[in-house]
Amino acid sequence: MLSVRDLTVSLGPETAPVDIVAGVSFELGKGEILGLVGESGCGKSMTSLAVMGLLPQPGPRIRAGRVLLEGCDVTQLQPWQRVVAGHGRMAMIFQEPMTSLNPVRRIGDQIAEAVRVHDRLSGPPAIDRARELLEQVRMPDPAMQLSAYPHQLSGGQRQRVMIAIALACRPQVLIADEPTTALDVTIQVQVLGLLRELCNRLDMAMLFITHDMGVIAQLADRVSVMYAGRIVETAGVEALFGRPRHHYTRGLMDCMPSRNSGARRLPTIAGQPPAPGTVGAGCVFASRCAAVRETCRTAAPPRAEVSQGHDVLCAFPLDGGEPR
Amino acid sequence: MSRDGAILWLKPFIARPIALLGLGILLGTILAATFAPWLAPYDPYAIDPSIRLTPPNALHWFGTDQFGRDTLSRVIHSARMALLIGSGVVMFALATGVPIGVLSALFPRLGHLLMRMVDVLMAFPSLLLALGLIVVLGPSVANAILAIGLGYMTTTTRIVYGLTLRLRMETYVEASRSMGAGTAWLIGKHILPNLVSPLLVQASFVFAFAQLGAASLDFLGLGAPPEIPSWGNMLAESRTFITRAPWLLFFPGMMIVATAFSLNLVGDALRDRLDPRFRQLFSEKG
Amino acid sequence: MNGNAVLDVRDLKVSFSVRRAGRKYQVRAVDGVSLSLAEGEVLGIVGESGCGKTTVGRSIVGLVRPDSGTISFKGTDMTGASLRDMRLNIRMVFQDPYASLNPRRTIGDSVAEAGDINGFFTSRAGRSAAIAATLTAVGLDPSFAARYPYELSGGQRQRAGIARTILPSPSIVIADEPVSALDVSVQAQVLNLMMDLREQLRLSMLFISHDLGVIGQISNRVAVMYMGRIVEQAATRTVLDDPRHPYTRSLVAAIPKPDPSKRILGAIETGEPPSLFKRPRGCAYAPRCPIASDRCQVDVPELRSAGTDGRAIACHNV
Repeated sequence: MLSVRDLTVSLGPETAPVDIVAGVSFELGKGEILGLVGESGCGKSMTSLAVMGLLPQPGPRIRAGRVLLEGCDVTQLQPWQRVVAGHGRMAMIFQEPMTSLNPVRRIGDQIAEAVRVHDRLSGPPAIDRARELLEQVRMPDPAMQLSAYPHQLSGGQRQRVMIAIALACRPQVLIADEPTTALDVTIQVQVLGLLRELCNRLDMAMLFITHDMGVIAQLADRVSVMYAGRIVETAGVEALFGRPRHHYTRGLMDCMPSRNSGARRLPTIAGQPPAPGTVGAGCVFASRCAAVRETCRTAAPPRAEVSQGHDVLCAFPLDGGEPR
Repeated sequence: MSRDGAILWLKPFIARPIALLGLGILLGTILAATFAPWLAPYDPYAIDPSIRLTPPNALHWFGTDQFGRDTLSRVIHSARMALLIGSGVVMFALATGVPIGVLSALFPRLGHLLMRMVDVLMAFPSLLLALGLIVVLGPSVANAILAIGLGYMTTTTRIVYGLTLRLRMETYVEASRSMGAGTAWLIGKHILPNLVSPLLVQASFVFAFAQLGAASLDFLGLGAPPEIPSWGNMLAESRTFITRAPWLLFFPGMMIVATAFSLNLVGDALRDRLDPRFRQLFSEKG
Repeated sequence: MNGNAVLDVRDLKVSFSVRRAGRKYQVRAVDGVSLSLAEGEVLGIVGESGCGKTTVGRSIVGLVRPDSGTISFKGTDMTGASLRDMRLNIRMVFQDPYASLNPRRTIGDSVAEAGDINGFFTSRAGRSAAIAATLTAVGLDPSFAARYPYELSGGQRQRAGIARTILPSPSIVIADEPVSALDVSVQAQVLNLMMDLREQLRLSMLFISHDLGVIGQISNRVAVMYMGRIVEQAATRTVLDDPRHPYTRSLVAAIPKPDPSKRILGAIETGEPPSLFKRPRGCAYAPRCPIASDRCQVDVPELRSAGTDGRAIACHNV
């Protein structure tokens, strides 16, 4: 379905590029939910924007790698070609829906606009389709809400509208960048449930980007953990949470308060992620890794498949013996 | 300011040659004003009827006027008046606008009253306001500064008021209040330091527009006394010779345009310097 | 419970006037909150956005003027009073480490601000020494005193923000979402720091957060707020392991657990969030509540004691 190969996104001059995403590869199958998890600045959002072709201009650019949607490299296409060729069947939703919605237009019109672009419908049929989309995203009282303005909706409802707009182009791949981070937990659980249901019902694949391990565990089928622009571990969700093999993944899980409640002190990962451009030879996590060895500092770690569908970018992965 | 700091301030100019041009013109004007007696080839007041209205030539690069005075010397000496008016207006605008704006934002009741008065002043076209004041106070350099400054006091007040309203809500100001800080502390430690950069930009624009205002007043004979060389006065005196001696209008006119233009360029560059995104781009070491 | 309370809040009510669609509304952000904080205790206040938890904290440090109610520190009523002594005794950590430090002041000046305002330092040398000691206490190098906020990472800034609240050492720290803007790995470091400081300086703490995981880690007791009222209050483990109020139950159930074998999506019903402009006549939670009865629609339930260990619940039906 969607295949990203060695994607490298760089900032700065051609002669001395700074890679903020360095050789990211992943595959996304039909109807699958891939979670991309990492801390702020790890390059997860840049990866998603690069895949969508939405990198801010001027600024970062794709220096190497391919983004194949059903075998067609979308990085080579102009935006209009994407729409015409029908390869624009990727849609994206963001963290803050309020900034993506026009505050002075009714939401029905805003959804209808997306319908008009993708389905060549206008007038009453477009509005009908907009209502249908609102029903699909389980908006309470959809016919009424068509004439509401964004500020009259709650945060959760606005995110539902954004999902409805994304669905207007009948996407095969939905990219969701922290869509529930700004929401309260009781609303977050509804929106996550909705996304999961839509993926199942519409056979839509989703790339879900978040910093929250809990959300990933609830939602994803497979998980890729990102650190300093690289994917350091990819595995099925059960395997990843059951037996994390990368020291960083393990560290992230250990320092979550909800996994430790009662402990007097939380385990931590010492130090901070390296700033882009400061990574030298060797493993990007070496400076913070508790199990670092001499070779880690000098030689880049190999990507090893420790078990079926479970890769780790580590020369000395954690022992998979005892499950957590 | 450290050396790094100085480099940081110069970067936006270096990055944009046109801003460097602006800075160059501005420095040139300041030099001309400072060293006018030495730079000017002739006495700007020296009358020589034998060379009335000579076009530019090797002896008189900018030509001479109807009394045979050297235009180049008068243009150079005029820079003094230009800088005097400009800095006077800027100082007046800041000295009135900053306190009114800050206090209005911090004390909403007082603010409602003061800002309505500022609104009324803003409703007058600034030149009309200046003319009215001059008519009442009589023409002089000080009154010209006051009259033009009043127009820019209103805009400065508005800017300061808006910025202070925003700064007042900043978390660090709230943190300070939660520790018992009084108004004087908040103004001195949090509000004024954060107003410096935007006001620097505002000052450069006020300076530029003051040039235009002063030229207009001089032209109407309501600014600097006619015997004092100023670009506006030179325009006013020579307007009757516009067809016979166009150089008399061209050179002072060019100077007015050039100084106003250069200050606008400098203001733009300063604004870029203060844009956080820009600052981030240049503050990264290496 | 009030015997050894360092902080006692009684029936606090705060409202704001909000302009919306040309009309002026009185929004009651806090609607009769009472709580007390014992010496050395960490009381967590948890709730979702708009529930009034932050307003409670801001009222206590004097940033918001309450409509009514009393706030007393060690038995002295301080509503309306701005006594210096109390300012130094009750201090606040703010959420956003990027906004809470003045970009134009050095870290040292920010850390020493409370002392400077209140004339705490007697000499320049003493001031510098105190800044250095405080920075060391929060795990920052003393050389940070001369730096500016933009040179610091988020975690370092929050450490500086905490340093500001412990110089001079207070009795009570009000922490308003101090770790929610930080990455998990940094969050754990800052939480550990706060727990250490609490012990070393014998602080009492009011820890305000939307994150039950974080609250569970640091607090002894939890008060759950909903639309300006406390709906349930008990020892932390009690609330997390055996929530009784229907709102607390849904809040606890909705936490995304980092365990793919315990999936909750689609399995729980949480209802639409309330609007502060349309407060229900009876229990504020009734419109979302699965066990609401007729009485809940008209009669506001009071917080009443339920069981041992100081548990209190505001619900007619549990």
